[in-house]
Amino acid sequence: MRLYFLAALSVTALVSCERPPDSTGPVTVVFVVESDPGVRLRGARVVVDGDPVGESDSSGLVRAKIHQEPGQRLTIQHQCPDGHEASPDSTVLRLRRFEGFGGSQPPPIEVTLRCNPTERLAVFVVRAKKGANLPVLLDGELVARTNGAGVAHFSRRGLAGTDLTVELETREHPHLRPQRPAQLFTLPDADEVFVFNQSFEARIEPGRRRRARPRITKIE
Amino acid sequence: MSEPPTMLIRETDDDKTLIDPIRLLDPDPPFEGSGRALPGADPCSGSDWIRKEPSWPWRGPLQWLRGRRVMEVGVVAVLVVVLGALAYRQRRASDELRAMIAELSAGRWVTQPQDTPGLPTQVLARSGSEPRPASSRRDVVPASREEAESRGARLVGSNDFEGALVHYLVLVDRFPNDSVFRDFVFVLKAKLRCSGPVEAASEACP
Repeated sequence: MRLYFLAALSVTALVSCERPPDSTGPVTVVFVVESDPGVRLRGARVVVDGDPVGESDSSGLVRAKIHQEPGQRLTIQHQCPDGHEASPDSTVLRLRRFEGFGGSQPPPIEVTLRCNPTERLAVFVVRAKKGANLPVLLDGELVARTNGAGVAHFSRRGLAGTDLTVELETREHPHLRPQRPAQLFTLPDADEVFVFNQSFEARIEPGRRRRARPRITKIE
Repeated sequence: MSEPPTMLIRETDDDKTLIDPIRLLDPDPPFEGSGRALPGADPCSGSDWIRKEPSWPWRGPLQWLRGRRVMEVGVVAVLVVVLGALAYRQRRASDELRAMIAELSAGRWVTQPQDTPGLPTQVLARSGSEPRPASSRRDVVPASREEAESRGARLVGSNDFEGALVHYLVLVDRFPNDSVFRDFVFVLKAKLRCSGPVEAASEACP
């Protein structure tokens, strides 16, 4: 009785089991070098277990075929281009044996490497309503001038966390209110767009106010 | 099956009465006429018509399958059938999954907009090999620099980064010596993940 039961279980197991995986070949690893999440970076060199495997292309990719035994640990390091720095910790990759669907080749392994920019780029848009032709100061330095529509564009690079003060110089236009409006911006750890919206009102000076004409009453 | 069907008593009986041997065991045989039961309780013994045991090949296993063993064998059989059916279903599901993955790998599994009308067109039909629709690009031909800058500022101010990227790309072409517009394009591309994978990039990415 037990013999029949064991035989039935064996048959069922044989039917449901797949064939054992093939012997492992070289594993394709794609290294994706990014300066920010989703922003690919070229010119980064990738080193696997001390051996250079390539430099990232314009798409930020380095493709390498690695011959390793399953379970072995690979130490991945990368050197970033100028203006970027790699994290001090190295990446460790452990290959495992697996089988692709339908006996196909296993898909390449994707490893993302980060090269953090040492400086961040901030671009500014100034929209000054009724503020045409105004000097724009960034931390006290003249960087732009609003056009006839009160719009100005400028950019600045700086370290993440840097505070930047944008000011509209109105000394040439004393009738504008408010005078010398300013706004503080802090650079995040990413490239960013900042918008400085400012509305002015033209104050009418009392001395230049038009005197009311004496009303002439026609007497007949 | 093992009992002789009917016997014919060969006596001087004109009626040629048919006698059921099983009924002969009864004290009151249900027949009429001169026929009567043979002496002896077992009508199947000591006669020419004694039934011989047939040499049936399954007799041994059937005898073995008596009592509790019938239930045990039945349980095992049910188990085998159920497990076999499960294995068959799993194999079919894995085959279908493999086929689906193969189609996905070949890039043939692109959702068409008419399949899901509730979603915007730019979300659907995004395949890496397909060109981006030119209609999504806005034609930006500013009349003057002041007007162009105002329009760019308006787009950025309204957080329309896709429209702003297209606009500042035009400004870069038109004013190549002004590096600030290139900086705007760089930052807007970063915000829209234009240099990343295709599926993560914005529609406005060049």
